[in-house]
Amino acid sequence: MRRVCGDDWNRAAPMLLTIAIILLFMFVLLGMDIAYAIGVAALGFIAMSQFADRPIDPVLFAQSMTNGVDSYALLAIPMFVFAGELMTKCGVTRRLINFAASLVAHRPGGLANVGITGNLFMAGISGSAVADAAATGSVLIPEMKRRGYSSRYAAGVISAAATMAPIIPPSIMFILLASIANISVGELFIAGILPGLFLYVGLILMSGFLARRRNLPTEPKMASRERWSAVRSGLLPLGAPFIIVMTKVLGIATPTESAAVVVLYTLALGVFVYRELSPSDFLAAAVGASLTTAVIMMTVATSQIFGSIAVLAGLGTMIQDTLLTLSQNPYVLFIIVNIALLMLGTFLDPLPLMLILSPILFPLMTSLGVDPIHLGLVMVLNLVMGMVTPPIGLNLFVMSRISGVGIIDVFLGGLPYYIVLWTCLIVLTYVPAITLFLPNLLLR
Amino acid sequence: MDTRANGFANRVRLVGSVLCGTVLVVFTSLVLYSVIMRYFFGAPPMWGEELPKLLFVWMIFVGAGFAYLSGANIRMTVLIDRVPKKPRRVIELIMHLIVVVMLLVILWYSVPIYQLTRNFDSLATGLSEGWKYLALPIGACLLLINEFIRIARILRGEPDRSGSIADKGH
Repeated sequence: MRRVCGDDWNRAAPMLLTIAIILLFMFVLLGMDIAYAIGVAALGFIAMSQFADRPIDPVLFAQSMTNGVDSYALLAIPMFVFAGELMTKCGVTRRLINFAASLVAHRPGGLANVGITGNLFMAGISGSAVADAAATGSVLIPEMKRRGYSSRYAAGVISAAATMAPIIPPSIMFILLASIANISVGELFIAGILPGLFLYVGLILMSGFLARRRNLPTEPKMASRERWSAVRSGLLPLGAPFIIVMTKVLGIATPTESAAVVVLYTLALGVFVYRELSPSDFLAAAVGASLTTAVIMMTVATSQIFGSIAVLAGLGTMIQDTLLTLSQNPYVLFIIVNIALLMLGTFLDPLPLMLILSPILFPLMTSLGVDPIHLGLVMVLNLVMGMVTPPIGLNLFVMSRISGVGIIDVFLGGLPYYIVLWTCLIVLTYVPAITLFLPNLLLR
Repeated sequence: MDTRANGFANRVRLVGSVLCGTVLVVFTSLVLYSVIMRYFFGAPPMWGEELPKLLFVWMIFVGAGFAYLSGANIRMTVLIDRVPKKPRRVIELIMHLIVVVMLLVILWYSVPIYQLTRNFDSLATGLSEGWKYLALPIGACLLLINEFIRIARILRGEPDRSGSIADKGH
């Protein structure tokens, strides 16, 4: 063990950390607002450290909240949320679902195919799994029920398909992860494309397979004129991910700047092409996006205190030393990290988990030769899976509310798809080439 | 509850939310303006990154205040909903008091930060650095008001219903 500080502190710090984490879990489960629960746990750590031999200055508490969100890279988040809200206001969800239907509704899998493909398109527009699940689910789940699908299957497939959202650019989680782990947002965005498509292929194959086995209905094939109009009106919104990718690949703008360009593009689309965006829609989208972001960033701000504490108290080195005594092989450590993240993710919100753990995991894994972009992708995929796994997951709650079945039923209904996602996770963990191929080809 | 006081609270909430939305529109436009100036005219403004960032920090903390007041916050109510009424009230009261303490700590320690930073001027914008650190205490005041409203509601015997994900969906 490296000795970074006194023996007493080495013994006290893990104990204080354990107490802080127990406090965090307890308050979250008892219904304290998540941002507060993280803050209170961090404050608990600072308070207890006053009695140890390395007291932490409480000024750090207020200071790291402001410094933790004062970042140009994070500025992309409200703008991507804004663009997403504007898209929803001008009927893009419906158009994308129509577009998806024109491509896959007549193949085995029917509306489940539409749900998966629709979520793939939505993933390129918005950066949040919950937003995508809510948007596509509220359109498709009632429709699927009418066509004779069970509620639990309908909710399950949408909930699983929404996990593509944080993997395919834009992605709120990638922006946050990049800023905390000091890697390039643009590279993460580009790296997410192939794994996202990989998940898509897995999900759509499973949908076809289940449809044949369970004899699920397919939709009649659209007439070619109807089909053409669905493709035409569904293709334009996909200009947004195109802008994000091209500005990065050609080196024209940073992701933050491209987010602003995407807002402008969406605005032009809503006002001049679809003509569905009124000034009051515009204002409502801005207000909605600013409040949504404020709530997310509050969680980020309090999580950052934990990050600062971890550095100051030398917690990172302690956890790293413990993990390194277990194994020095990155592949073995990846298993441990995957299992730990999956388990923690089923209980806790992905954002705070990511913010608290990355300052510890990134130096450790990259020192063993793991590419930070690859680690970032694996980490985000893990945490998103936590959002769709019981007992606690934001996506499950949203799907349960829309479909009217319990969260366990949503989970069981989507179980075949979850098996696909878990398999993909293992493949993506151990075949870094899928993630790194595009960034290496285009950016390095 | 007094409907006039309620109407006033709603108006304050509305004005605050619209203000935050406007700040979002403003800094998005500023980022766009600096991209255009840099890319087409080769003359990016000095404040290109600093000013939007400052507005962003304000939008976050003041926005969080109004978002919590409108019940847009994220919390988990699955477990607490199963606790019988009386112990639930006690648990919720204790938790809110802890949050009040935390917000007071934020306010208390924001003072030295502000005093230290207000004398430094940002090179890019010419504004005092103190502006950046003023947003958090103001947001904390809004959150404190929100805590008092929620505590008053619990003391009246109503359940704490602000922002539960089970029915808000976030």
